[in-house]
Amino acid sequence: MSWTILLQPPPPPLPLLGTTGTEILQFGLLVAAGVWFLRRSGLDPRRFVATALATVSLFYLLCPEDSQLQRRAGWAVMNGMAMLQGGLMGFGGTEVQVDGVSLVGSVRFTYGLGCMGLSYLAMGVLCVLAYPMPWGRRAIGALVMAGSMIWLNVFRLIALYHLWELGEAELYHLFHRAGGGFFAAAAAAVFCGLLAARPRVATAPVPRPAPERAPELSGARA
Amino acid sequence: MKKKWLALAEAAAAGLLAAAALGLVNRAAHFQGWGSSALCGVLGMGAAVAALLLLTRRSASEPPEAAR
Repeated sequence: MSWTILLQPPPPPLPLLGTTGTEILQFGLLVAAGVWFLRRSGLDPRRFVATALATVSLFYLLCPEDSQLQRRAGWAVMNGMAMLQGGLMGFGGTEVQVDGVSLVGSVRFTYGLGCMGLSYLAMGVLCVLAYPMPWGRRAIGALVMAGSMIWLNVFRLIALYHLWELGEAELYHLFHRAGGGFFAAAAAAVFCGLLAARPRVATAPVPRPAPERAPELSGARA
Repeated sequence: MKKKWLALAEAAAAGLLAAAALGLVNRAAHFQGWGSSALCGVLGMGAAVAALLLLTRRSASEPPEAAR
C-alpha cells in the first residue's frame, strides 16, 4: 500500500438531508402553515415551532438516510410499495412482476433508498404531532398525512415507471428531480387541509318550551 | 386587509427561518472540521432563536383575537 493512498483524506460522509433541498422547503412550508393557522385561532405559535424544529432535527441526527434503521425499514417499505405499485398497475392493465424491491415488466425498475420519501413522511408526521390540538386529532392527522403521502408516492412511482418504459430519459430525470418538490407541496396541502378541517360539534336535543296558554277572556265566545 | 398580509408575511418569515435553522443545524453535524461545524451550528441556533423572537415580538405587541 503506498503512502499516497494513506494520506488521502477520507471521502465525505453522506449528507443528512436530501441533496435537492426540497426537504428544507417542505419544513418551511409546514412551519409557515402552522404559524398561519395558530395566529388565526389566536394561539401562540412559538411552542409549535420549537417542538417541530427540535423533533425533526433529532430525527435527522439520530436516523439519517444512511443509518441502519432507515436501511432496514427502507427495504421493508420498498418491498411493500413494490407490491402495492405492482397491484395497482396490474389493476390498470400493465402486467409486472415484483422481485424484492424491483418491478419487472418490459423494463426492470428498481427502487433506490430515497425513493420512499421516508424523511419527507417523518417530517410531515412530526409536524402534525407537534401542532397543539387534542391527541386524538393528532393521531388521526398523522395517519392521514402518512397515508396521503404513501398514496401520492405510488402514483409518482407509476409515472416514473412509464416514463422509463417509454424511453423518455430526459423527462424521467426531470420528473425524478422534481419529485421532492412534489412531495413538499403535497405535504403542505395535506397539512393545511387537516388544520382547516373543523372538528364536528356535538349536538344535544333541546327540549321545546311548552306552548303558553292563551289568557281566557271572561265572557268571550267564538 | 393589511393585518392579513402582515400575518402572512410573518408566517412566511417564520417558515424561512425555521427551514434555515434545520438546514444549518443538520449541516453542522455533517461537516468534519470543527470550525465549519461550529459556525453552522451557531448560525442554525441563531436562525431558530430569530424565528422564536419574531413570533414573540408580535405576541407581545398585539393581543390574540380570542382576548379582544
